[in-house]
Formats: sequence, structure tokens, C-alpha cells
Amino acid sequence: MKHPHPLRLSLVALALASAFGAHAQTTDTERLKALQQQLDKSLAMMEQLTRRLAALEQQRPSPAPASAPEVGARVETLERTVADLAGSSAHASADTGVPLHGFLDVGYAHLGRNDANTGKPGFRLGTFDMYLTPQFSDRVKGLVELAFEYNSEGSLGTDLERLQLGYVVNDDLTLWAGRFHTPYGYWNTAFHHGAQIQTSITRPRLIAFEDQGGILPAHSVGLWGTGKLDTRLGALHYDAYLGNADSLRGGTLDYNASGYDHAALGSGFNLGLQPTALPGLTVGAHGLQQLVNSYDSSNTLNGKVKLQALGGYAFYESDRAEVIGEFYSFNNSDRYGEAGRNRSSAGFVQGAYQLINQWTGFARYERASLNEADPYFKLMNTASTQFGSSYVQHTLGLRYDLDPRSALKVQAERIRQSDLAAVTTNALRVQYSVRF
Amino acid sequence: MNSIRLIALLLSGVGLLGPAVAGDVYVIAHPSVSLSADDVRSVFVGDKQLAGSVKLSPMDNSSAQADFLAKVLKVDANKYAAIWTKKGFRDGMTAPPLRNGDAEVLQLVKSTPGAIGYVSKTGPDVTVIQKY
Repeated sequence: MKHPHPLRLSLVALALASAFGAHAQTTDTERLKALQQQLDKSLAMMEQLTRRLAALEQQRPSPAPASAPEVGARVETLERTVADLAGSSAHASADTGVPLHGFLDVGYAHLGRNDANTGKPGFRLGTFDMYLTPQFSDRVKGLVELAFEYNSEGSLGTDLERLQLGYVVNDDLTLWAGRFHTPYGYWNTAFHHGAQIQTSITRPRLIAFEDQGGILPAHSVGLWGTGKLDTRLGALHYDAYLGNADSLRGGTLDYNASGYDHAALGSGFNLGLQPTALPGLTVGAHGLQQLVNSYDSSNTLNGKVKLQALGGYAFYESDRAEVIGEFYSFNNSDRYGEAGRNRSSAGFVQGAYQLINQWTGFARYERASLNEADPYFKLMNTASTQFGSSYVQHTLGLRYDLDPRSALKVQAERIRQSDLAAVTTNALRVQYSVRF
Repeated sequence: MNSIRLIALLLSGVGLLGPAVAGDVYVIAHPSVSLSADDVRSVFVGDKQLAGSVKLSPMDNSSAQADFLAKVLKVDANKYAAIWTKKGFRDGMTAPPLRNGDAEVLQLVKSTPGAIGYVSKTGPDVTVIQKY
């Protein structure tokens, strides 16, 4: 009985190897079952081919079997071809440009009251946010983020959210220059415009974006050093930054992207410890200070305040739960009038828990007790905006993850605003958000 | 030897080259990389970018990723994707590229300084950091 040609067997084996090497996407049991079925089919096919081969060989004389050196040369050629194919595939996939990622969301809001703080009711377009992370060399990288969103007046705004150039000094330190998310607390740098990655629909109001009622500078333009140190207690994350001081214009913070307008720089820090003994937990402290000038509609200086905030935060995450809490204590001093030094405080805590499968429930409590005499907050209250008012907000919501990249959320809010006008507003929001 | 038996024997051997349903995972690196097994997790979650002066280039392997995530990182695919989404969004990092199987990973790790990957069956000219 003639033996099957060794080279033919090798080729069949290689073909079967690549067939079996296909990426398995199903569970282990399903994969085993699929493999078994493939194996059975392949055995049946082999049997047929062998019978056919035997029949053909009986019809005509077989060629003389290749000598060992000839077989060796053919195998070597085959190996070189496979290596070349793998190499060219790798080279082709290495030059694919810079990946583009981002977020977008749409929604609906039913509001009990319409003002600058809550926005207008109805269907709304959220933010179309995209970002790139080009790697220019082994140590030099960049981050560019562009956001498109409609404001409350219906105008489309384009915002170069971030434009950072960074240098990786080592694993413990990366230096960035440009426009970046101010590194206080946890939420501002972790989620920012990433609607799909944050559990709730809205951010806590006290850390809202500058043009949406935020009392803190969510963006900075300057220098930022960030890194992580391994300590005996755990990983210590740190941030320190220096940037253009903000100005107040029309009651809204302006981060002065084109240079500071009153020769002042602001600075801040963030220290967060991830204790080894408590996986998933981060506890930290943060602070910032800057001299903020305020200008009226005719660009005339009408206030100057030294903003000083100090506080702490905590973040906990497990497979099913997420808890975020941030606290800010303000000790601002009037540098224009005679209001002197004024203290205020603000904070929030949000908890979320995965109820069943893709359903997650969340709840948040926010409170801002802002001193009415503090010109920093007083200048944020204008005829059209009440961003510097004390408030208490309760939020309750549900999130459904349709898949890992998209989420449907519904959220109910009750906001009680004190100070100038004691007003309670209820709101119901729905949002569909995706990431890509 | 009966040809059917020979083919069945080859198939049983070939089966070992297929996807590692619950098989071994070898974390391999270019010879220029000096890493300990303790560093592997840090590399693949973006916490470690350098080994001395060498810039690390981690890569994922589509045919062995399920086993690697379960045995080494102890997360599922969705959690892994979420980790890199946050790393990219906050720190400007790019997720490891996904390569098509052991052959491509071996070829790239062998030829790229700083490369680190994982395969179900190791090969020549690469350093095995750890077998799981």
C-alpha cells in the first residue's frame, strides 16, 4: 500500500491549522462543539479524498517520490512564504494612521421651569465629541479633542476642548502643555464630555462646564504634570498644574485660551491614593488657587477675587457598584472691594449599582452653600444666569446598556435654589449615548 | 500505516495549534525588553509604558485574547475595552492593536524592539516573560 505524499499531508495540515486558528468568538462550550463538528467534517472529507487518490493512483503510475533534500527544500520555501505573509500583514496593519474615538448623545428633557441653569425643554442634540491620541515618537504624544454642541439659544458651537502635547519622562511622570481638563476631583478628568462613560445623564451642577453653570474652572491652558508613584500603601496618583488665570465675563468663567489678561497664573494639585488593601478605592485631596478678574459687558473691570478652594474626594468601583464623592471648601478674598474673606462649601455624592444584567440604578445628592457676600459667586449671578446661587439637588436615574458602546438613560431631578429667589425645579431627562 | 489513522493522528496534533479554549498563554517579548511577570498586568492596562529606556509596544492576539484576559488580567472583554477607553480619554494613550493570531504576534514581537504580546504556543527568537 502506498503511503500518502508527505508534502500533500503537510499542506493539508497547514490548511486545517489556519482553519482551526480562526478567532473564536463564542463561549468555550460552543467553540468545542463547533470544533468537533469541523473535525468530523474534515475526517469525512479526508476519507473521500483518500479513496479518490487511491483510485487515481491505480489508473496511472505514481510519480517517483521526492527525495529527502527536495522535500526539505519545499518545506523551507513554504516556511519562508508563511513568514513573509505574516510579516507583510503586520507591516500593513502598522501603518493605519491615528484612531479616531469619541462620543455623541441625543436626548429629551421635560422641565418644570425654563432658565439658564436648566436649559430649554424638548428634544435636544447633545454633544458630538471626538478625540485623537497621536503618538509622534516613543516619548512624545498628543491629545486633541473637538466638541460640537448647540447652546441654549440654538447656535452651534465648536470647541477645541483639548489640545495637549505631552512628553513621557518615565512611567512616573508625563508632562503636558496646552489646553487640558483641570485635574480636580475625579469626575472632571474621568468623564468630562464622555456622555456614554459617565453613569448619569448630567454632571453635578457645581462642576458643570463653565458656560453651563460651573463654579470651578473645568478647563485650563498651561502646563500639567501627572503621574503615579508606587508606595507601601498603594499607588499614589498626582497632578500639578500651572495655567492662565480665569476671568469672569457675563457671569461665566473664561479660561483665557489666548493668554491671561491680567498677568496672573493659577495653579492647583490633586493627590489620589489607591490603597492596595482596598482594591477599587481611590481617596484624594485637591486644591486650586487663582486671581480672577471680572469684567462687565463693556469690558470694564468690575471685580477681582482670589479664588482658593481645597477639598477631598473618593471614588470606589467594583464589578457592580460605583460611588463618587467630591467636596470643595472655598476661602475666597475680595481684592477689589471691601467684602473681605468669605467661606463657602459645595459637594456631591453619587452611587450607582448594577441591578440586573444591563440595568444600573443611580442616585445623587448635591449641595452648594455659597456665601452671598462673596463677590466670586455674586458676579456669577446676572440678569440671565444664576450660576453663583446656593442649591440642593436630588437626582435619581436608571441606565440600560444596550451594548458595551451605547446606553439609554432616564433621570429625574429636583433642584431647590436658594438665595435670590427660592425656586424649586423638577426635571425629567432621557438620553441615548454612544461611544466609538 | 492506514492513511485514515495517519490523518487522524495529524489532526489531533493540529488541534493543539488551534484556539486555546482553555490552553496555555505565553507572554512573550522582544529580546530588548526586560520585564518581570509582575509587570505584565501593568503593561496591558496602560500603567507601564517603558522598560528602562525602551518604549513598550504591547499588542493583543485575537486567537488567545479570551484566555489572556481571564488568566492574566482577570477581566472580561468589555471591562478591558472600558479600561482602555478611559486611558485613552484621560491620558491620551492608545489601546494595544489587535493582531490576527499567533503567527503574526510572533513575527512582530521577534522583529520589533519593545514589542510584547501573548501567544498560545511560543516560538524561537522571543523571550518568554511568563507562562500562564
